[in-house]
Amino acid sequence: MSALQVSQLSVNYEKTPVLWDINFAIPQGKLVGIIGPNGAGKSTLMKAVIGLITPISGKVDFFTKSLKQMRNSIAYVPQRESVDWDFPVTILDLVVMGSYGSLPLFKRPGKQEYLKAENYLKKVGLFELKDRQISQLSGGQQQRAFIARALMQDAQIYFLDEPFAGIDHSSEKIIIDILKKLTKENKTIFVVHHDLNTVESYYEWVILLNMRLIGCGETKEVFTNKNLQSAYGKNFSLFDDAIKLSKKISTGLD
Amino acid sequence: MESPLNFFFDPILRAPTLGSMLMCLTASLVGVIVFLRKRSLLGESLSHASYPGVILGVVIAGYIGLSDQNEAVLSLLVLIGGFFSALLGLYSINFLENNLKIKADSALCVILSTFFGVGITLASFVQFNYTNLYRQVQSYLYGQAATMTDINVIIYGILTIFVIVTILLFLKEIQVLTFDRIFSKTIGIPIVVIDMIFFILIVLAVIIGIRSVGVVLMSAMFIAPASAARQYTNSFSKMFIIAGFFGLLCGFLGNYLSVEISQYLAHIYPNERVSIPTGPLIVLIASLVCFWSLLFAPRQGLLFRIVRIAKFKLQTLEENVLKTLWRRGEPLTLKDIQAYQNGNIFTMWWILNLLQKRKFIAKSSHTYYLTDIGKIVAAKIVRLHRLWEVYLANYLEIGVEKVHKSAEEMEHVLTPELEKELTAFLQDPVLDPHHQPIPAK
Amino acid sequence: MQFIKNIIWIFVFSSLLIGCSTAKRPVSNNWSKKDSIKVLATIEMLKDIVQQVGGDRVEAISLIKGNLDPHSYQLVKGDDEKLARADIIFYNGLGLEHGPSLQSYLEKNSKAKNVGSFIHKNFPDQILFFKGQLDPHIWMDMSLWSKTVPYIVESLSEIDPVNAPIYQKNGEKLIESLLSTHEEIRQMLQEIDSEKRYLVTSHDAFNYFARVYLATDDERKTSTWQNRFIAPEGLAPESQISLLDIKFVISHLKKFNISVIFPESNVSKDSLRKIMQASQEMGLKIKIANDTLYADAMGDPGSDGDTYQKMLIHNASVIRNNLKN
Repeated sequence: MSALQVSQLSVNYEKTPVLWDINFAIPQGKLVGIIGPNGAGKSTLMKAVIGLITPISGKVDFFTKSLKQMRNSIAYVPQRESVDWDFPVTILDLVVMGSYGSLPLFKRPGKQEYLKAENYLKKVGLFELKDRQISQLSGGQQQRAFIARALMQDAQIYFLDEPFAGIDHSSEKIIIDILKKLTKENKTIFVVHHDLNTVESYYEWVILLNMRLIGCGETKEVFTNKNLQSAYGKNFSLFDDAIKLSKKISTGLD
Repeated sequence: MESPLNFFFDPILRAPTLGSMLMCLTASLVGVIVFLRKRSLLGESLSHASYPGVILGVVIAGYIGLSDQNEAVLSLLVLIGGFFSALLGLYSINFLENNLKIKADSALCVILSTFFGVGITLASFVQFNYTNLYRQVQSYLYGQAATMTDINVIIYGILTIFVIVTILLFLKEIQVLTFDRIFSKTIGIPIVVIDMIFFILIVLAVIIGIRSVGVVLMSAMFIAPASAARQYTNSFSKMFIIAGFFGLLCGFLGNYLSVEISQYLAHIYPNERVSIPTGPLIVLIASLVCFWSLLFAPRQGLLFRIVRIAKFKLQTLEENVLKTLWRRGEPLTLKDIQAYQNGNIFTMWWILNLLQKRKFIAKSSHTYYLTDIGKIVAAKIVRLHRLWEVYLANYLEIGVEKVHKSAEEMEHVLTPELEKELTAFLQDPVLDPHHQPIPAK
Repeated sequence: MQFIKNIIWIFVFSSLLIGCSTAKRPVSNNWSKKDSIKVLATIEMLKDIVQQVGGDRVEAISLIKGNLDPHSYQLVKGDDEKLARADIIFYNGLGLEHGPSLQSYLEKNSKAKNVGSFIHKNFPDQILFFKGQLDPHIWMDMSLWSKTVPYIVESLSEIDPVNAPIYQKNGEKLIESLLSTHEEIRQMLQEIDSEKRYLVTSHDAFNYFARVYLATDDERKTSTWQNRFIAPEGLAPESQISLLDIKFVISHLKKFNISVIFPESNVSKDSLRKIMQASQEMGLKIKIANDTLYADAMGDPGSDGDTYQKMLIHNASVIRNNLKN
């Protein structure tokens, strides 16, 4: 049984296709990198899979169940821009928010949740900063705090959208170590990744996309020059230009 | 001179005071959410949008022949009218934003002016046809706290309790939804429900408040206490408490000072008719509280920030002087030192004095030299400077000519922790990119 | 969500329908007679006496009709036409018509006659001046109002010298009638015992009334006559009511043992209600009279206050009925 199975997934942005007929299945316990050039639909794929965007067609199964049924076993770490950094919240509070999904409507987080949060903060190396305002953190520290929040959710499947964008080296190292440890606990992790140099050392599996699925499988098999040429190279540039033209015409712009 | 306690018990003073305090409390609590959602203009638009509904409530009261004795029913009709009118305004705003793709601030302004214009037109209709009720209608423009009675207080009290209980129950949902909407969606927070609750709360706060401060000034009571509160805390729940406190304070002081100042002025100018209206005074006080907080709140206040910046600048100047003395390795005169810095002679002299006081330098016959302690401090600065240069040049591949400028700034900023990291990372280098020795730790 | 939207629309539409169906347009008035002098008066009380002076030589209409507040009245559509067509305009002055659009028109127009200013010039000690403002409510003292008649006669004679003798005769008859009613009113109010003869209404319209009808001769010689009347709102019922004014009225009620307060026909009862509620809680027995007084407006046609004289008589009888014994 696959941790994630995607069948015939297509996503449009207004009238223009962004993802086209995506099919793949990922077994449990893998650390998967989602890679492709800019605009390839990597973030879109992730958002469509977890229900933030509605696809025009396709089916998504988590351990053969629907998103709704598995919601409490799925954690999503969004891109850092989606958050309001001026909001009055400390790092500890931020991590505690990870428990909100499992708390019933009128119940507040209690001592148990706070202790758990402190524990995860220790795991990501932020425990000393737990009472700091989030705006006072560096990019890498903010990202680590988000990881801690995701860990709070005790999920089976994790989705991380560009977690390594613009963060420092040591934060990146801490994060990738945590992710690898998680896979040892049989969690399945998907990461939208943009730095081709680190793909082979980080991920055992990759999903290579450029609007269409170019390859999905073990890194050593999929991450080949031929495939990379297909994804990043000229082959798709014609397609790219046609799509842009279609976008222009359908929005009535000259 | 009235004793402040009287304002809670005296039959004349009690209802306006309590009513205003309740209204300000509600508005400031809901205002925290409005403020953090960065929808501050929403309060303004909704209060203006409620105006036509208020008038319709008055018209209906006149049509069914209410006008005089049934004050409670009249108040309720006005509140209900205002409520639905504001909801309609809200719905229109959402329609404009989502369906017609109009930007938020434009949509808010369009609805604000349109509804208010409709309201004014209706008001002139009322002026000609229901003249007795016209004054009622006018009193909702700028508020008329003075004629509130206990019935108003009871109605507002119930609504306020409702608002407080709702916020308490949904506290964590409101927090996570306001902070990270996308995350909330993924963990299954009922977004539509919480948004609806927020909108109902804000409309309730508006209609409670327009009797005290009026349609025109209402929005201040949403924003001022919340912005003030933000200056004092970084905790979501504490922000409600502080904002609520400010709200109560403004509501009370508005009434208290309106009476006291009027009495005082009546003394000084016995031949003039003086009256300080309560509603506008509440708003003035709220604005003052807000400005005060922005300037003087500890840690975040502007004043403190200015002071801290000045302190840092001073520290920078001091460290630069120490560096100069260390590099030159010999005692220097005031003029010599000044040649190396950007600053006038007086500032230099003052700095040198400060350094002397701290025993980093000493003076002997017109020249200054480093003391032993001073040498250590100066060496540290130079070390940080050169470490940073090594880092920039070797690891970020920034040209050797450029690293100096950046290091001039960073040497004053690097903390001991960062220094430790740099030292470890660079493996304790001995020479900087200009081939100068780096002082040992 | 759809359900709530429907409720809102139903509410909106039904209110609009209701509003339209009860539209009581103010009686559209304009001059209809030919061959008569077109007179425009700002307030009904003025129009009434001007019409009596002019007789059938003159057709007088008023600008501010019904229960509209003359203090804040602003020109509306159709008013400039009336102002332009009128042969002569009479207004109260003394700051009564202080809506900016109306005030500036009246001051600049040479055919506008200021009766208040006439009184002020010729009988300056009759005019009251409080807290830096003139009290314009001179019609509340019938004897004082009758003093405007010679000025009206003079103004009409100026533009219609042929009929001057008629105006003169009408004027004399009117003065006689007014003074006789004036005496009647005085008698009515003297029926009330002196210690009960105190008046409290919504706004400061009754100073002249109190001075001439309620006060005793001795009180008139000093300023103690002012105790006979008090109101929470000032000369114009449009300013913000302050808590201080309400307190002041209540302490006055206590001091003079007043038990009845009088609402006005075109002013909101909010302040009186507040006063009643607060004083009742303080142990005073206060009630609001169930009939209103005419202060800034006359009664509707058909009511018992639809002429100037009936207006003041109505006031006198309501006050007497509520305060006597």
